[in-house]
Amino acid sequence: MELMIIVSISLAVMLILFIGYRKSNNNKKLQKEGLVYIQSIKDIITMVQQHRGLSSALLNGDDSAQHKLFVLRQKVADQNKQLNVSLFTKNERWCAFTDHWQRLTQQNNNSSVANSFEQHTMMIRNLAYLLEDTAELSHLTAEFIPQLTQIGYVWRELVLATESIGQSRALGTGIAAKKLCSNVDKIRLNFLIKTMKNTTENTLQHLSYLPQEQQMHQNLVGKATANIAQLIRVIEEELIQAEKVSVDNKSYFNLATTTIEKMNDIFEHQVKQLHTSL
Amino acid sequence: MKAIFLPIQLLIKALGFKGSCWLTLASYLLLVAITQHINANSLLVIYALFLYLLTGMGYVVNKQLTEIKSVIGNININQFDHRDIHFNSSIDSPLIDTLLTTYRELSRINIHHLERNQEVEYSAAQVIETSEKVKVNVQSQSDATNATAAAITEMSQSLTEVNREISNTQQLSCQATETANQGQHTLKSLSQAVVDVSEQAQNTQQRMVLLNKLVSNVEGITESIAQISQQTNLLALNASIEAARAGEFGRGFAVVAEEVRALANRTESATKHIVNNINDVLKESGEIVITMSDVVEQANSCIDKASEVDKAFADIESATEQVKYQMSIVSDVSTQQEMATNEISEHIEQVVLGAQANADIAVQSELVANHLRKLTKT
Repeated sequence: MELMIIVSISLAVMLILFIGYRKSNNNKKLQKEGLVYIQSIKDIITMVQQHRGLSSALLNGDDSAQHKLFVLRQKVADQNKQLNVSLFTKNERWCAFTDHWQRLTQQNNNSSVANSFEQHTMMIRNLAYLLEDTAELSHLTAEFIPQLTQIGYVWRELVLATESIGQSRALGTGIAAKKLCSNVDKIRLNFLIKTMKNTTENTLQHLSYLPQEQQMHQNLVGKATANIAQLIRVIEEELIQAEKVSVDNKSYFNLATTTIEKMNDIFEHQVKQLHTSL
Repeated sequence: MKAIFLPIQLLIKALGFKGSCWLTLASYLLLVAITQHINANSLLVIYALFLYLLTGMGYVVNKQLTEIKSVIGNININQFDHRDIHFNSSIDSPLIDTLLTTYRELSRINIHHLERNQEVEYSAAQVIETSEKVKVNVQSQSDATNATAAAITEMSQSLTEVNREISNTQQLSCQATETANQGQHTLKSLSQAVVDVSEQAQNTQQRMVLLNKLVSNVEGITESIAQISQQTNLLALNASIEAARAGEFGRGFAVVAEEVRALANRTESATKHIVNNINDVLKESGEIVITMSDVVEQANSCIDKASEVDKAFADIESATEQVKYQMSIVSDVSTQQEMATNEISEHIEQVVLGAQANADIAVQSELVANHLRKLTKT
């Protein structure tokens, strides 16, 4: 009988160890899957931001944006299909986004510039929160990744900072297309400048990095900071302070897009470091 | 205490809270099942193990509750960031997940509101700045409009003066026209008189020529008389000679002849005197003719000058009429301008009142914006 007890206890201990090992493996799998989803969501955010800028340009009279919008919608549709997995099918934020996106694209650019901007911004904010939720559900937080203590800044602050630049791109492109900057536009651009300055002074400085990636990280942060400074200067001099707006909407769009790409590079680098850490 | 129950915590970490509970229950059931088949020492060990599991589970639950209380008590209500909450969660309770999810959503709502507040605060600051500019501009506008209103009032008064002067000028130009008319009439009379004088001078000249001819005739007659006188004198001389020849008988005849000769001498003398006078008359009349010719010439010249003066008077009249007409137009325009400036002055006074009202509104807006900023800061 004693032997049976000893065997039972041994089996129980082995079972515990096996379950613990499996749990650890499941966690890593969850994190890796989460990273894939996050990258997909980030891609969708980037495309919706581009869609917002192009919609603004189109509604302000730039008909050349029509074809680009069509191509972009196809890309978003393809990306959406990839994310229609069990994790998201019942997710309120994802369902809200897909429904909202469908309704927005069906409007066929009949809404006003302000309404279009508002709708896109709401969707992007929703997607940004979905990205953060996914990161937390996938255990991609500082609690589970001690090597990157400020990884939470990547999922929220970095994404929202990029979104601020995206908003300035949409607003600025519209202003440059119609060659007129209203007082409300000036107030909003000034506020976005304040947010962008906060990004370079705080968010980018708070990001953590692996020791071997320090140089690369600083290099990317330096480039992004320089681009943000240039964008801020153009917004101030060419849009807010200029008596008559003369900046070309395409060149402004390209400058803002380059800045967003620099921010996305930082994001990608952080994701790459996460892959290394897992 | 923590070290004592470390195995329990590891167990929960490996199996989860529910799994650990099931394990405890299973150990209890095992205990009940084998109680009859094992010895007292083994039973004691198994009981001790069961009690350890049970107490450990109780400890863990209590610890979790204390930790939840501590975490909730230590929440930074100023930052309200869900990432700051770190549960060392051993109990896989949906309650904790729901609590965390709710807190995360509240955290986002809070961030959203904070951003909105910042934006409202920034907007309010911009509104204040704009209101300041509006206030300054409106004040400047008000001052400028006041000055303009005063200038227009002065201009209106000046226009009244101008209008009065124009009326006076119009009256004077009417008088000038009348005077020019009178002058023209007088000049025509004068011209007519000069024409009359000229005609009379020509008549006089012609008559003087005629008179000259008559005087010339008289001169001829006088010469005849002088010849008759010389013949008479010669006859008287012959008669004296004859009387002398007749002697005494001729004495009386000689006396008669002498008287006739004396008469002839006196006639000759008178004739010479007449001739002299006629010559004087001819000389004077010749000069008169020349003078009358000059008079005629002068009179003709006067007529020409009078024509020119008449034409000048006509031009003056025409010009004065034109001036009168233009002054009439200017007077009408001036009257209209006066009315217009009065109207403008009234409107500008209204603008001044509006600008003052705007300045008050701008001040009120500034106060409201300040209030708004204070509200968003709290």
